[in-house]
Amino acid sequence: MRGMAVFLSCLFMACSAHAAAKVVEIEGDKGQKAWLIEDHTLPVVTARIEFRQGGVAYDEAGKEGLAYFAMQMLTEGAGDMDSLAFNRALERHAIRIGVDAQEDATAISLQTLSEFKNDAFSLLALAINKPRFDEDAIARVASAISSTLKEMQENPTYRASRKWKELAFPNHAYHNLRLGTLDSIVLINQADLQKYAGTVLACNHRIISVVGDITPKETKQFLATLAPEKECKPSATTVTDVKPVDGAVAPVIVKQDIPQTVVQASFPALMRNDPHYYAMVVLNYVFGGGGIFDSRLGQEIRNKRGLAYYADSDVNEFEHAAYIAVHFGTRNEQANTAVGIFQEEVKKLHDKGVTKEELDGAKRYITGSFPLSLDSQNSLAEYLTQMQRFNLGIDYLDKRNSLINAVTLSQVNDLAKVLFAHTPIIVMAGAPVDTNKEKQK
Amino acid sequence: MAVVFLLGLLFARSAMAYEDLPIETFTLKNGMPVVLIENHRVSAVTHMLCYRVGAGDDFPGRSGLAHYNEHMMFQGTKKVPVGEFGRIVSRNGGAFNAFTTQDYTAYHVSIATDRLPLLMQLEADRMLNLAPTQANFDKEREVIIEERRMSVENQPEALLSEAMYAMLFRNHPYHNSVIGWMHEMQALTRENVLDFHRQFYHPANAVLVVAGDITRKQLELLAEKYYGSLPAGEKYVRNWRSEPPQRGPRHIEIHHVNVKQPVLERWYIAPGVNTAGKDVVVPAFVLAQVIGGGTTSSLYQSLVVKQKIATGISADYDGINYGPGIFKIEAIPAPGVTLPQLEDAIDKEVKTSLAQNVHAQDLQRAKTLLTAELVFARDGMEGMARTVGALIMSGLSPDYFNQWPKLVDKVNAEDVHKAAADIFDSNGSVTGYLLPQEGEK
Repeated sequence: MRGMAVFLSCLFMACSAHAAAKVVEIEGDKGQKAWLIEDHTLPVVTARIEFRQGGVAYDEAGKEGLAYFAMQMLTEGAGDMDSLAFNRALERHAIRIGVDAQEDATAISLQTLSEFKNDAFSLLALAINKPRFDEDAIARVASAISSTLKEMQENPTYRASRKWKELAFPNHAYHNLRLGTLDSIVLINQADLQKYAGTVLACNHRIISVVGDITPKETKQFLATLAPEKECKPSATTVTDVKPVDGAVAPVIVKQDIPQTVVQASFPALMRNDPHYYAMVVLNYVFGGGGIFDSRLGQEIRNKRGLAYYADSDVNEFEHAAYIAVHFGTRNEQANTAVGIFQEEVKKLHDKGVTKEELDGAKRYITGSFPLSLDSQNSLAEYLTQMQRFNLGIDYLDKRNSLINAVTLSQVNDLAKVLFAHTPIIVMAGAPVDTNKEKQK
Repeated sequence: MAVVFLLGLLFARSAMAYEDLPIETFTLKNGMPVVLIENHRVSAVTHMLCYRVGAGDDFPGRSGLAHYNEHMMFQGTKKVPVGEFGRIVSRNGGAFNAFTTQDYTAYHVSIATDRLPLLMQLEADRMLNLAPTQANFDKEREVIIEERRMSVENQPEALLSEAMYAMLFRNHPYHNSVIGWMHEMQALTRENVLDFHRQFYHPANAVLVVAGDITRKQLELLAEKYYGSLPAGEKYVRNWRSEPPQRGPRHIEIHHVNVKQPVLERWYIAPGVNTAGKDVVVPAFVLAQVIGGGTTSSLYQSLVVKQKIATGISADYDGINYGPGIFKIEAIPAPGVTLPQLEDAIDKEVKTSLAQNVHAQDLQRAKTLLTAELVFARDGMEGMARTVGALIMSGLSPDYFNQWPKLVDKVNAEDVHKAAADIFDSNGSVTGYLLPQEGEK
């Protein structure tokens, strides 16, 4: 079976004539744009709208959690429908609306059976253009968020990431907590929410992606339906580029009485538009993205030593910062050993880089598996959003595999020397034992 | 024309008329069934091998064995050394994973259609020729123990859940969790796994589900070649203990040092497709939606909106199982409300729901949501393979997917009432309180 690993033929996306899904730009009458993938295989339409310059990093001090709160409120009443009426209207046609708040932007997504798309579009437009922000709904949502925050505070993964943000972005709004704090949530009032609507939701810096059983003409009508009615007053808040800070020599410990320590680590990374971004994606696969059997972290921490159930890394791209995050969790008695192995693997990659075999394997997985992520409307809508956010080009889906295949061994290994020269931030949430190097926090 | 249209509105369509999902079933010459759902959106397939054995079949005193066996399936055969399965699949652009439930174990790989022969060779090999080393057994036992630490011991809510399953099912194998009890996991041996694997893993107990870009003819040729020629082995006849009548409600209270948000859980044994029949479960799904499926539900409107004694409440039901179904209610108390007070309010609301019939509009919306779910579920091949696989492993025909809209359409208020009367038998209930350490708020 060993010979099977060496496969000469090119992987299907890399050289077949079968093109990726076709993306077209649709322009509305008021200058709004949407990117569309028309696909009539299923009688379903999916849409995603991202509101730029309105994410968690734009929450003002003292009102952390506002962006998240505001988005939660969008399905709590709009136009002349209170929360109950609005949600019944959605359910009547099984219309699904979801909301999200990330660092740079917030988003609302829609999924509807195409036979009800006109109702769906109207309800979506109402939600984003005429949210009611009723006082009783505000109080109810504030209570729910407070309960969620309390539950999250029990969770070592959350506690680790909260500490990590403080360490990585000490003087930058990227340290804002998505749901805010128990103190900040209760300070958010109707005026704040209305201001959010006027400065973010009403403004035309939206990224709109549409996928599914819908024509270009219908998409243009959709854009018209969505056009904001409120006047846009863009926020004065700006978020500047920032590099995550390097780590201290010793891991930072967030004490908690649990049997398994959760470890989160990070390295500053290349920004999305850096010409060597694709080399970094390949490097990350070898480092920890390739899973249990095809990455250094997976193999050394889990598959060879059985220290953890999960040990992986991923690339994180904000508009103004980028980092590679590492995650693993192991019993308290082994936590420091696992961290030691992680540090050893980083040094190995820095000093010796990846092998040609690893480079080829990474490329084969990354290019070969690409179509798997294009097989659902939701993931296509997410791709379209990313492509617009980072100006990747409307033909990105067709180009993407050749960009990966163009990566060379020396690019990857030069990059490893740069990225892994940094001392990573390491946060350990739990009760790691037996060390005299830890810094108690 | 106008008259037809008006009539269409008056008799609001309750069963959306969508094309049946194209499901093909055939049997290989050794009796192994194959199910195909064609989907030509991308030139890839999800190949899912399901074995009719799960945690419910763990040997006595050997909880966690089925799951441990699932892990060991990646740890080497006579021909394919440990880790190579994963590496070969990844480097051929495949994405793989596996999961164990109480009822079955599934191994799924999404990969380019032209890599199927390679994949099937690997799957046929590990189906029959598991041969990990002792070191791999020992190491992987540590991995599953870390998995238990991550998913159970680090999480107070999971500790409550595990305790409640054991109280709800006193005799039925659902008593034990899939991951297993820690002390039994620590004692699992190589012989246990090999015995388990030898007893259950062969074509007589396997079903292949494939969703994606392949025709029946192509699949038949491949499946016959790689699986059809394998000796069928002995068919496993499951003989699970059943649950005796429940004589009184059970109660458990867990105080945990890490809890910051009290939680109340109320569970009932409910109809399952095998224990009660495939028609009886459908009204139970409708009941769950009406009583606790979102903010329009009766529990939410009563306890969160009107009484303000909960910040959140929801109901969940699943009866697509080999064994009994479970109906769960989860509630978060508002600040200042005790769990006994919350439990009282839930009981009152349950009593109310038993005393009156569900409103026509609530019923209609629930049915619309349940029907639409299966249309949305068709978006993506892996989801489809998993959905159909779950039906088959519960003992249902894959065609249940297409029968579902008609079954839902038939449900009336009386059926929902009957389901409620059957499920909300307080003798059959278990109530769990999750609270902070005594003496703390």
